[in-house]
Amino acid sequence: MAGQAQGGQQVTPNLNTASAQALYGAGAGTAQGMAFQPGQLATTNLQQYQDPYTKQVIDASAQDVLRNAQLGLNQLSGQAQAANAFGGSRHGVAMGEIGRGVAQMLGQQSAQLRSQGFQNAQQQAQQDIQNRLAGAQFRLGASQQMGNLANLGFGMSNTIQDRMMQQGAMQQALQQQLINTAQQRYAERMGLPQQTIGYVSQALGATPTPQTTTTTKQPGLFDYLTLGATAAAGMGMSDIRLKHNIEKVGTLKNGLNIYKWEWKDFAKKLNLPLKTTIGVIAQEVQKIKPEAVKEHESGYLMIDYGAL
Amino acid sequence: MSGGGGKGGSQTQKAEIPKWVEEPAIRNLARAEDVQKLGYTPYYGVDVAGFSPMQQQAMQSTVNQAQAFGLAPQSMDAMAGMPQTTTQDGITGYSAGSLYDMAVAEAKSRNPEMARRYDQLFS
Repeated sequence: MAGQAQGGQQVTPNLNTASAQALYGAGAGTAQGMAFQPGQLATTNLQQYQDPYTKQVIDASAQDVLRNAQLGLNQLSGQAQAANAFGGSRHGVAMGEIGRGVAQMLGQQSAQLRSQGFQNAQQQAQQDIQNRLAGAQFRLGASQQMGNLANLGFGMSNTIQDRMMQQGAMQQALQQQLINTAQQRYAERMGLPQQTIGYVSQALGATPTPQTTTTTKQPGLFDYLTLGATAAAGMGMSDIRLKHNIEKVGTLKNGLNIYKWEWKDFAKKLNLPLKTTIGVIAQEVQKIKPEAVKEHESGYLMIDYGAL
Repeated sequence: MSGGGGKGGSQTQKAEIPKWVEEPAIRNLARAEDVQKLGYTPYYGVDVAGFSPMQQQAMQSTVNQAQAFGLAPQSMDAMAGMPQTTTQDGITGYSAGSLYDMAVAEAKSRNPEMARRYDQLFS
């Protein structure tokens, strides 16, 4: 998977293309391996494995036998002449025996050499079949390795793409964050006028605002009835020194002001006739209608409401 | 200010706000009325970040992988069909501004009376 030279420059190989090519190569190699036929010895033409010099070897061997036979015949003829039996029947029988032996030897030797040649051819053919089988197995192994490489390349490609996608997503997220910040600031700017209205409202709300409250009360029949009821009850304490939290609630027709009040704590302890918390103030009545004011034995002033 | 009374009588309370509170409150109300008339001011900047170059390359690599294995046409482009991006100060992305304008125009076209009343609120 080395880079290819293109225009004199080394080009980085495309991992995806290389993986795909390896996968296709592995597939093709596997298919070839599956279809491989190593061949059978029985159907193999052994002629191609035969020794082309077999005939010469047999002929040479036969020549050797014949030469030795000739030597044997010559020796036999010499012995027959020495014994004056050359051409006799015994000489003829002996020569015939030599000839039969030679013929037998020639036949055996030829058969043996031919058998050796056949066996040798068979072995070579068998070895050839084994070699082809081993080659096919080797190619299958290479195809498997190529398939593994294709898988490895595919996995590497996926891993790299995933990482690129992750890092790219981080970059995109950063840009999105910038956009969001810009949008937020834009919204803040556009909302600022509305927000500043709130500032004034909040400031006014947080500041203690003094309010002038004017209370006006016109005494009605109920008020007079109340006063009447109190008067009917007799004398009542009405000294301003005994009262606090005094609040004006109205004015009588004769000009006397009507107040409501609370009795001071010490007044409550004096065992005085503190009958009401609304009415007139003795000190004011003293100026307009002094006959309605009496002094209690304690020294504080009382009002005779019946005399008002 | 509150008022009430018993039988035959009446009581009135009147609260008076000081001038130094009353005047800014009035100005604030006037300002609120001005702000009310501003209406909607849409954002026309980039809304969504576009794919970074690295993301685009990763996508193209996936396409290349598919092409190598015969699963995609050779002419396929990873970013084909995506809307046109805009770049502002180095930020590349997509703006919804034109889509918003189209939506407003469409709404006006479909219901002009409603649009007129809406616009009148801010005129």
